[in-house]
Amino acid sequence: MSATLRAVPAPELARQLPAGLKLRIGPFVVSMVGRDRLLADCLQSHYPDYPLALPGSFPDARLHLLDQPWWHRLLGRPRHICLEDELSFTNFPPAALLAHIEWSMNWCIASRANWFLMLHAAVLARDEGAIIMPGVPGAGKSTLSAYLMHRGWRLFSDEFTLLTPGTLELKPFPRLIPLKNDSIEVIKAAVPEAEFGPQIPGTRKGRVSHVKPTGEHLRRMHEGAQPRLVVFPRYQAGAATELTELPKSACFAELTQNAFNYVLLGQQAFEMLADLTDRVQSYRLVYSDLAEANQALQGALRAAA
Amino acid sequence: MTKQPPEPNWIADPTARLVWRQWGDAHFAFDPRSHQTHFLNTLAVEVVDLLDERPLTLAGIHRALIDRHEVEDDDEGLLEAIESSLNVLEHLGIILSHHAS
Repeated sequence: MSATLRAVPAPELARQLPAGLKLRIGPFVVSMVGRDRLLADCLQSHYPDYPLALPGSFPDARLHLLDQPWWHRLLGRPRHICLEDELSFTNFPPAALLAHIEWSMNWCIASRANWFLMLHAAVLARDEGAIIMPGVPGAGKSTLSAYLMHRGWRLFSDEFTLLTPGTLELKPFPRLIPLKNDSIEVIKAAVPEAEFGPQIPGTRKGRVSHVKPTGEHLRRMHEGAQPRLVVFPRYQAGAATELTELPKSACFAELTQNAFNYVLLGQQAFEMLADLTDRVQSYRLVYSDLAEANQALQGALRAAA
Repeated sequence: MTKQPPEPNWIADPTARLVWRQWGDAHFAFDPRSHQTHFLNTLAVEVVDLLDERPLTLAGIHRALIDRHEVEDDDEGLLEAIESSLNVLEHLGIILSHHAS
């Protein structure tokens, strides 16, 4: 196991960041660049258990927090993150840095990692195999993922499914989970041990706070898993937990609508999703109680294994 | 007295080279030219299958389906359903129509 960011002393981190500090996040290498103490503090606080990439690794994404003259703070000017082109990709108040690092990383991976078939879906795994949970924003993917990763499931991602061509192996891409608005309090109540980042108000998604994956999820992020279930979750306040089997044709049709790069990959993506559909059991899950949803998913996974 | 235009012949577009998958009555066709995925019912698939073999008119498709399924020709709705399928399949670029000169 390679060293993690936690092992890098603060002076060394400050020395490396202007040239770029490379972290391994799932199958990707992300280079963080910036002179500002703000970036160093953010990384030390929220990414301490991510491994350092090997020297010489080629970065899949490069995120550069632009320098800012000190007096810009007095004027309330925003901070900027640039990608490789050194043009402002996103701007934000300093307190929202973590959210914008994560969103910038999402954009880089979603638009570049076309050696995977990428679905907009959460993935979690147990010994029996993995469950893929596609869903539109608001379906409850992130909330359910944040709960399950503290209840014996291994977090692969709360919104990126990475499917390997040929084997259909799922690759972990464990990240901080951005909970929005009331979901923050839901998880704080249901998972008292969950470790949260700061609350960031006023983002385009409302109030956001990130839940950290524990070190165990990151230590095992090189271990893939085979898909066993595709479950389309939908949170509905007050609803009884209901897991309904879905016809394969409906599963396939919905999966084709959930891929970031389905049209780009063409026939390969069509055949991968068809093979995935043949291989898994698929369900719709309506839930309001996280513990009951967990029990239902565990039961379905055991039955499918 | 005006002369009726001849009924068009329908043919499967030979450039389509569709890739098919089926679950029950649901058929999915991937078109490598457009990277589009089409969801088709069994009637549409049977029409494409017939037109893959040879060009046919609407009446010819109707007759061929009746023969294939060994049923009586007593349902007017079938002709309309075939015509509707032909329009969809032409719109998707899976079949072509042409009038005999």
